[in-house]
Amino acid sequence: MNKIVQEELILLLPRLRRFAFGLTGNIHEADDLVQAACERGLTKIAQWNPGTRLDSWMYRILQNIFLDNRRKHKLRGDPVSPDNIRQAVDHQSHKIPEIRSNLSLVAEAMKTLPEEQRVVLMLVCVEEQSYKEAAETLDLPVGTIMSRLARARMKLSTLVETTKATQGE
Amino acid sequence: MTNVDHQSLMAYVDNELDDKKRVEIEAIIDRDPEAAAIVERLTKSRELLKEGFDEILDYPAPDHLVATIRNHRAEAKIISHPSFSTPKNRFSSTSLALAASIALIIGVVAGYIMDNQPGENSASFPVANLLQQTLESQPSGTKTIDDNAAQAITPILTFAAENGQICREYERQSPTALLRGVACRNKEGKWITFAEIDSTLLPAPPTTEIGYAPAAGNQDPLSAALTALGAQRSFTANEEQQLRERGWQ
Repeated sequence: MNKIVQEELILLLPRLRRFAFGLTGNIHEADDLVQAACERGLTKIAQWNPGTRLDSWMYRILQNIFLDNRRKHKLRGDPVSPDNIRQAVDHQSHKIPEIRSNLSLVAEAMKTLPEEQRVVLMLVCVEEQSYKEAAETLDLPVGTIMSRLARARMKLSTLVETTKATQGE
Repeated sequence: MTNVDHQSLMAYVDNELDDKKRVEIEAIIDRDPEAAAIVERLTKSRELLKEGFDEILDYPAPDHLVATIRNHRAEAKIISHPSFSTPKNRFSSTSLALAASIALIIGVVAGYIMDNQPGENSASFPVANLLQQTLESQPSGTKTIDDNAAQAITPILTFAAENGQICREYERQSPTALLRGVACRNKEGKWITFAEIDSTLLPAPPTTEIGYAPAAGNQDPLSAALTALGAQRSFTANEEQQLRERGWQ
């Protein structure tokens, strides 16, 4: 049983990293988060109901650790303005030329959103969970999912357009 | 704009509406450019996120994450019970398909036995500073992370070898491997690695007692090392602390 879960978890790793990267915007932080989530998940594997989705269960653990950590550290640095984003994107694409611009663009834009909104964006837009599934993953009402999602997406599209405009695209 | 909220438009974009509601929204979009513009933004935002973050899937997961998962069971078991009274019981289990790694370690062990002076030439090898410092100063169960060396070392337990030397079992985590080793402290106060193996080669702890296989030939490499050292029991946390404070003398 445990062995099978371990192998399943290994197959999930790329998706867990993608999710964690969406929350943190930094691949090292993302990997630390994935590692902590896997450790916690395996330690508490008895609490997972095998009839349910392992990925959703892991996303939930991961976001809990992420939100806990954030609460502990209480937001490092200044809130990011669209101007900072552009600089950050420029900076990052110089440093890591192989990163395609879309990834750094969305990753930086994500950082301007409240943590709770990032989680919902990742679950619905990237993991392609339905509103109902996302609500179950996070144990929240569907209405909360929808209001966070709508606000986050409107803000995100404004930010991305502004960034692209100032970059002259 | 027509009296329609962002959430309904979004639900339309995300294909979350029933037929009746969808037809309603489509009608609104057709006649209201403002609503259509918002639908466009909501669609774009979704595509952008998906396309952007999907890039992460192109990169293989780092080995240390895979190792974290594969080794979880053995690790949790041993760290939560950092003591042993019968080393054979502790590691020997199940039938082991470890011939290759045993051969490798036996080389180290044999060199040690013949020489019987760990730390002086033989098959033992000096280890890096981080390991020295960690074994010298850290209690069992404490993880020391060195970002520069990209390594983490956790002493697991401490015991006295038959010849009176103090030895410690430890776990060493590098980006590419999770290793389990035993090092002993020589007269000069240097910790000398006696055996170190990839912990993926260690058998998982037995799930039942049925798999118990005490035959010497079936020992996994680390058990073989402990047996060769004549380990009887590990020190308690208190004993270990006193020893450490006395400089392991």
